[in-house]
Amino acid sequence: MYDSHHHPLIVQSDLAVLLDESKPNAQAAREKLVQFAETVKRAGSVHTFKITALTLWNAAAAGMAAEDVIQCLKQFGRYELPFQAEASIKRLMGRYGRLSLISEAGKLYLQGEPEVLGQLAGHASVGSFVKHRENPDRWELEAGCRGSFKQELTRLGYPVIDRAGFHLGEELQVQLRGQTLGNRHFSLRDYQREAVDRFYQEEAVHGGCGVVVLPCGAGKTVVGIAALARLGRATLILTSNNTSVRQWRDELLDKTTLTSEEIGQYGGALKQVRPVTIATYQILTHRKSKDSAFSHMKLFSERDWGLIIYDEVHLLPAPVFRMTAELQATRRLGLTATLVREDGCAEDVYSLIGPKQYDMQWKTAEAGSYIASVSCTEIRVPLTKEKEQQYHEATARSKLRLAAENPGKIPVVRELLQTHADKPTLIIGQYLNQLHELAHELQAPLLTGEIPQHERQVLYERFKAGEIKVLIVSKVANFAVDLPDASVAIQLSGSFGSRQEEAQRIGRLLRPKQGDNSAWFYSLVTERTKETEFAVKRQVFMLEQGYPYDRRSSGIDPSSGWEAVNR
Amino acid sequence: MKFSQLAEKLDQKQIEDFEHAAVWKPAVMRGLGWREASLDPSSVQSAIELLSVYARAFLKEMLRAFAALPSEEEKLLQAVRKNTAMSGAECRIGLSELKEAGIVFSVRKVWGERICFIPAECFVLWQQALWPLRLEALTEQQQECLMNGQIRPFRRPLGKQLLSGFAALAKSGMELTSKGVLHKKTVARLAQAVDLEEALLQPFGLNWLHKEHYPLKAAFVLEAGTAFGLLRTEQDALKWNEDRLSHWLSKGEADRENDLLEWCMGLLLPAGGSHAHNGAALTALQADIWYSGREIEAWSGELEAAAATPHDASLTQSKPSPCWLGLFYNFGWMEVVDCESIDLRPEMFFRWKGVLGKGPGREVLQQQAEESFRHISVQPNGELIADPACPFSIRWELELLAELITDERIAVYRMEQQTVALALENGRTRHSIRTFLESASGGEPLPAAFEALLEVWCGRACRSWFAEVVLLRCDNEQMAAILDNHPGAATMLTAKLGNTDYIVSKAHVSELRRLLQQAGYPPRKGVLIEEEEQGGYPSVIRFFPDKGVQQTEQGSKTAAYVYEAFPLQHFELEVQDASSRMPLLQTDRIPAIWTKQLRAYHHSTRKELIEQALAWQTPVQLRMRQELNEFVPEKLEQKDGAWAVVGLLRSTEEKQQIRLTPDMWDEMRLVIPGRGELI
Repeated sequence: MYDSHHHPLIVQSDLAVLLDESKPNAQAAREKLVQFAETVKRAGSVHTFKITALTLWNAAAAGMAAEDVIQCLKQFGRYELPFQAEASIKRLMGRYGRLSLISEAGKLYLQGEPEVLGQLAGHASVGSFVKHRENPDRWELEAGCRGSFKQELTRLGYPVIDRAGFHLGEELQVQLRGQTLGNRHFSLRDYQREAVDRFYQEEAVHGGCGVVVLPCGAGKTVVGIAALARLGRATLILTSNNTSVRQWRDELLDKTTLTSEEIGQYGGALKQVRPVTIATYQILTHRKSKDSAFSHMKLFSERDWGLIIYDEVHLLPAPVFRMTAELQATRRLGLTATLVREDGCAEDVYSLIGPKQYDMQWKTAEAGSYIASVSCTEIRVPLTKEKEQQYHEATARSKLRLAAENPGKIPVVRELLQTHADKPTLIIGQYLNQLHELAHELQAPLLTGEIPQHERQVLYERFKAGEIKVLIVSKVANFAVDLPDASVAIQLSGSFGSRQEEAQRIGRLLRPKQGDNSAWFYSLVTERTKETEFAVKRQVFMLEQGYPYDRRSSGIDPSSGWEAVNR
Repeated sequence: MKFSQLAEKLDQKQIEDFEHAAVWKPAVMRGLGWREASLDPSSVQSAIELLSVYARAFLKEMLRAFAALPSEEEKLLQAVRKNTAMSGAECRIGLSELKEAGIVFSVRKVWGERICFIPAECFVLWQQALWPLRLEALTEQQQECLMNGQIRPFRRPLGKQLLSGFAALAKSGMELTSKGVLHKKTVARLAQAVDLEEALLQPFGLNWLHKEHYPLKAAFVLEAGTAFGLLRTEQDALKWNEDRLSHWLSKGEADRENDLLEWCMGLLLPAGGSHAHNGAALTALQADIWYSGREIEAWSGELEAAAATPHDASLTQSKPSPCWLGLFYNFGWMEVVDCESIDLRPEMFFRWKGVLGKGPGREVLQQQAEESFRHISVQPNGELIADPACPFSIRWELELLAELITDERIAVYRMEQQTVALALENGRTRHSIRTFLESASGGEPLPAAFEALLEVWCGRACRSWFAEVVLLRCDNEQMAAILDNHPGAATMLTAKLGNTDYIVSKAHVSELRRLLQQAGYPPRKGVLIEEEEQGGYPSVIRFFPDKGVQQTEQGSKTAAYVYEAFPLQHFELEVQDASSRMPLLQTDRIPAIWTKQLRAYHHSTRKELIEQALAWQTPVQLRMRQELNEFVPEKLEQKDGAWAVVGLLRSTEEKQQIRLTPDMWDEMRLVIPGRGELI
């Protein structure tokens, strides 16, 4: 058995790949590996990647050949490359580029090697899309099946290159500003420019559709805006929530020559359809009843869109996929921090939005200071004897609340605020009583769901402007507000074990920071309670996302009583 | 009967007699005894050249027709005679020689029936020496074509599958029901932990204990555990033989897998009937070289065709032929690719993996395992990554502490709340888990985040426990006072419960009993409640090799779960020496010239000679038209005062019966096998 013990990659026959970061050439291996594999976990020194049909086709779309992939795995592999792994890579990548869709005289054709078309003929599901088998290497397809046919071929394991072209869409005069409206210098970062170039490539096979993968905080919105400006066509932007709609609008106004009259918001009370329109997935998938039609899907055809931007493409809901299948002649740009979908629809992203056009790894972004370096710390706070007694006698639900509202957390918050006195700090909590008490104690503003939208906006602006250093937010507000400049987040209590919530909270700290580009996330957890168990679950998830956690004790003696500490 | 079982039945004198046989001379000169030589491929190869014509022909036909299957001696002799050109006496001489050399053995059943056999391990070597399987390795171009085939997914080597099975057993509890079987859930978990497909064992027609309760797969795992002496059955539970378990776990991978291969062959070759040839022949192939399954079929066909008569149908009666390639793949020893060939017939391609130690570089890995102390890497999220050389003793503990996520080149285990809870339940503590993980990862400190997880996982469960202690009860306070005041007894009372009861450590019961007896208050002899023995998941972790453990190999046990196809070990083993050979030929009762010279006898004398040859089952030499022929008479025919002999003329190319009348030869003599006494 071949064994090069110092090599960093371990390749399993099912195409799972482990990268041992402790080995000397791990960084070089990672740089190669990310070109054809996706990250699954990155906890500790051994990170897990997975090579899939899609990652291989994405690599092939970027110009890699099967031999390049195999060579890399052999070069950095600790053990002999499993025969099955090598065969899978050759077979999957060997299928890439052998089928293409073209459009001629308004008709859609599938072209490819007779052998591959012969294999496809054996699949019953393909038959319904084929109008006429002109030649062994060319089939005429039914009109309007471009998207669904690509979906089906991808499902069957046959990638198809879409050369059927795009229509231009309505022209739009728009340029990027050199100075933002806020009077700051603005230019694209190198990687943002490269991402836009890759997407745009007018002559290339895959230009005009695809997905850009950037870590949270690395400026995906800016890439979308730059792509829009580069194309200069009417654009529909779909995003995950209303906050994001406003953020897109503000960013467009701030960084482009577009006016507010040219930007429409489609959602809530506003149903504006303008040259650039921003809508949520939620509104598009809204319907009166389970059986009725999606009344807002008409938005896709209400203007002659030249570009559709799918923000957070990993959250794209199934009905929007179906609609997108019919819009294959429109340029499409997906933006995301991860291509991993928990619903197994990654294939649909590939076939309907397009292949991955650009991917920057989190490590690379951190190394280049494109995102902040976040330190995560869990602080364990004990209960007082009296509270501990109450805790043991309480019901399961009350136990969680008692642990979350542990008064011992307040002095710890004070201490943390002192440590980071000059940093914009968010304090996030679950229970309003506790938050009100804390707001009173700290004399800090509190932002909850009870606060009207316009007042929230004011608080948000003041925080952004640095007028408020500490902002206390409830869970509701936490989801609804984007706070780009927070450097410190203190999580007073998490919502049980919600892993996504904690990930989102940490993600909000990632935007690059002034000075040393550092951010801090603190999670306050009551010792020896259910809260520690939930915290453990959340942290395991975060560890796997690559956020190392420190843990420390509050150093407070519960027997002395919190009142004493507070004084 | 396995070779080791057989060897145990032989005394030193018998073994020395075997070693005096000419066939083992080269081996003996190399310093090998009969035991070693019998299992040494090169000794077997050289022995073949030194066997007499009769012994060689006999052995070849015996193995061809019966493979590893034991056979009644008379049936065997008949079959060999029928399928070769040998006379009955020649067959007997051949068989005697094989017995004298310790190659073929026989046992005697109580009613006198004699069963001949060759141990399965020896069958493999003789089979490979007699019918060497020479396959063409696939070319690089052909290997490229394999990539388009259906490559069967990775299978763990049998040792690792068994490890998981044994661990599942240990974790689930080994108590037996009133019917003497494991609980259903335990059986299900045991079967689930092992990847092996039961269907591949079915064609062997194995029979097993508690068939209605245990699926064959579970019985197979339990049989393996028992065969290697790891498991034993006690009244109400299965128990681990911890020393043997520890020894088995401490073996190197190649050694363990080879032991398993040998054990499987011992169990399956006799059950495989004539199909055993394919299984045995395959094991001679080198690792890491791709071959075509079609070539095996062709080779097997040639073996069949080479026989004068096809295989005895009773050997394979109504059994589907076992798929050895599928089986070896399932045992994790082979890689298999299914392809469709040009003629659209399915075709299997295969290669042995290096796990049996045949591949290059295994020694390096083994050496690494011995030299390295860093066998696992502990990740902050609770994942434990075990490297390929990670010893089984460590994997055994990992199986308890964590869930196995993937096990291929490297194994990934994942510790979670519930796996840790189970470990705590089995007597592990936070401290012992930490110590184990730190040691297994070469003394590296555990990641802080992992420590935090462990603290939480160990923070609640098993913080209290029930201890088995003994309650000493007094009939009243007065008796209790006597105890309280007894200077020796009082120190052994752990605690007093109420006015008349005491907690006493189990260890002090005998001494207390003695003291009370001495003091004139003998306690009741019986104990009110029977004590149960402490069970649980055995701890085998020893970071330094345990030199005290005896080498314990399988061999001496009897079948516990899966029955041997033809169990022989209960019968009396017969040993043949040279003195017992050929008592049947009383040559002094005939004229010496009958055997020594070719003569033209009168027809009546010719008939006498033929009758003598028939009685002795020997051939005769006939001069027919100036040509010398050997003829094996089979029967005399008489009609209308004339006679003829039917038999086999050996000089013809084709083996066919002919009928000769006495006028058809000129001269004749009797041939005594083994004696070339022509004047």
